Amino acid sequence: MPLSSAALHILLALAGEDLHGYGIMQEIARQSEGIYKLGPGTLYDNLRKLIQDGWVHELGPRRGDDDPRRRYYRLTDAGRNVLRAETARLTQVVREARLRLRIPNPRRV
Amino acid sequence: MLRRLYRCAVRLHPSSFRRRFGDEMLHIFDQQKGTLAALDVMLDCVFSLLRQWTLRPHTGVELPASPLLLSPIADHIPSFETLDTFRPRASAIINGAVLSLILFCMTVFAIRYSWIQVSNLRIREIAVAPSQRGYSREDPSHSAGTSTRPLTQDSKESSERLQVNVIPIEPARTQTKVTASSSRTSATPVGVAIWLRLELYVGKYISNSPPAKISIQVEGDHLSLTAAGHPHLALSPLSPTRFAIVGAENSYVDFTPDDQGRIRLLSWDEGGNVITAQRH
Repeated sequence: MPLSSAALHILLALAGEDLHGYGIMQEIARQSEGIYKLGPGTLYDNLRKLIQDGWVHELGPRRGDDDPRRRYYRLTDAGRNVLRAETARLTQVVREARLRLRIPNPRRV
Repeated sequence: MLRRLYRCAVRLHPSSFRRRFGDEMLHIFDQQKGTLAALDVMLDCVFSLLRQWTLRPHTGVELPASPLLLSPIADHIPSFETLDTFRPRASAIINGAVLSLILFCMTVFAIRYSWIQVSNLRIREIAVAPSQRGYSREDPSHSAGTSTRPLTQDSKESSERLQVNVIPIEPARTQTKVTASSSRTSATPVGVAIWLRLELYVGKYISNSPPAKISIQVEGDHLSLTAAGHPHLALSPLSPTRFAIVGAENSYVDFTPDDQGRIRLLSWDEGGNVITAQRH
């Protein structure tokens, strides 16, 4: 089943490193070049589901952090597999779209 | 101010969500720079509030609560906890809505096509003495009798008002006379003070058949009737338009107002012999 845009972006943001909620929002904005912005309500609504599904693991507050309210999240192996599968599906979608629209593949440098 | 509103909105989330993520949401709000960014986050919180209460069932596994939010509330913002995680199924809500709609339609239909026309129900009028009714006490048109036309013009001409006490004729006979009159008149209790403006009735009344000249004047605190061949007859009011002649059995004088409320006609019923006279 395809992931929602919010869930995909959260998994993608956590694929690099462990992040807290605000860090996830910033990473998503960076990756999408500011096009896709996630509010805290939407973020935690999706995080809750991802945690319940076992794709994201909550680490809790980190020692030495300046704000004890920050709770960090980590992508689990299951979540990484889901992200890989979704990436493969999207790659197939992109390939099919290029074929239908006759868009040439980008040249590899 | 905006932060306080945001905190209130966070507190309105379902308890499981609020206890787990409320503190982090506040942290993110504190990171926003500028009012526009804060408003954006506030709007997102409102949507989140609607989403959590309408779309998200909270019967699943509870996530561990944030330890910071388990501490006593220090910001004096009220919050509430649901004692039970039970929430009705969506199908139950839809069924309830449909049943409510059906019930509402049936009620409207019953009111519209009811055999009992509620709007046509009438409450029987309770006849009371004019002085107890509340409207103008001197207005003969409100008498329990023949006319409902007000004495508007004459009422404006004079401001003098007299209180006329019904002159007791004979209790037994008066009672008989009252009963013999209309049912409304009978509701006027004998001996109850009736406020009348006696000058409204004063004048000369002329009858052509049989030819007679009748004069009505005020004598003291009551009206009197003078006619050729008759002594001064004292009139005792039974209603603002009906008077009994004191000392005479079955003798009444009825005054009839015109469209403008002026007394124009006098009917003297003397034991069945009625004389009708026009006012001059």
